[in-house]
Amino acid sequence: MESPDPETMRLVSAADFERDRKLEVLLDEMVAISPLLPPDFAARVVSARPFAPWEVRRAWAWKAPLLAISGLLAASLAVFLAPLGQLAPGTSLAVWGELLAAALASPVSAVLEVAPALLAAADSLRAAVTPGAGLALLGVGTAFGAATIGLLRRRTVRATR
Amino acid sequence: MALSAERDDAELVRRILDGEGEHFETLVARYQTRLFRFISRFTNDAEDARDVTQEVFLKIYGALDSFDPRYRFSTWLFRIAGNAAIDHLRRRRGRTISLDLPPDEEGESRAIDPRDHRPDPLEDLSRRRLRQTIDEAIEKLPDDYRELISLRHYGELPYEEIAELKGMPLGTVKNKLFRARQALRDLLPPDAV
Repeated sequence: MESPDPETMRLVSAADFERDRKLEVLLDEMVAISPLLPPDFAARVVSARPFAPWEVRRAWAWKAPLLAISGLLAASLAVFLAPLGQLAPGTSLAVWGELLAAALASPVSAVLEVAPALLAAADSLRAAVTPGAGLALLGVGTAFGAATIGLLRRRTVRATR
Repeated sequence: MALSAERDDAELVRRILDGEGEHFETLVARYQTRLFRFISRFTNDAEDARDVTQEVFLKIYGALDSFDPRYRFSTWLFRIAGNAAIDHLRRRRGRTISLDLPPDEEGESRAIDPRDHRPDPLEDLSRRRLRQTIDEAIEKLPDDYRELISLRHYGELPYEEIAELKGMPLGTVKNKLFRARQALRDLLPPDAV
């Protein structure tokens, strides 16, 4: 271990101390004229900060998405219960049944309806493109899908801040 | 640094962890200049130093829950910054380093502008040259000397905090800093100091 500070002080000359002091002053002056950060640096850092792991573990971080989900559930419940005020229970039940069937069946029937046309279109596309182009198309599709998912995730993260 | 500032830092961290994320900007604003100057000593390039400074703050944010409030926030911050700066140096190895004057903070060249309205452009130029000379001399110092000078004069950390950060006795820090400045002086032209 090196000798403690007072010991060193005894060993060096007064002239050395004076030179050291001057260099300290010079260094401080040089620091004062060194480049600066842009004025909005702090704001930029704050906007660029990721969703930290410790934020995921804290309940308050989920306040916004929980509120949104609760709102949606409450609204759905209100829509679901609204017919009760206007109609008799039996009629309400029938209306709910019809609505539910329509909500579930309509998309399925729509898909079934367009499926042959979609398959035919895909088949003709496959016949038209070379294997390389097909792969490229698949790659573009995957990249587009990944980008969309990434964007949605980012939005969700921002919404939870 | 005053004890109240340390308590204030710890309090800010606690509030950020409690969901008041807006206080992170206060922490960044408080340390950005010192941290940037400290990191600049390693990168020797303002643009790189800016990127590394931002990277350090983002790293700090991600690890904020691991900060132990019994210690100084600045010590923790500068320790992480030192590691990041060294990592940056390692990554930079092999990259070409220009011998020209690096661009200033706005990325502009350092040519003298004849329309410059500052009081004494010649004096300003000579100070910039001197700074460049000192920067180059610091770069030639052994790593441990360079780090100590950067922490003390660019990070503006008190001796006590450097001792805590480096795990050295206070006397050793003062002694080594004295020797580091002596080594730096030897690298400078005689008329510089």
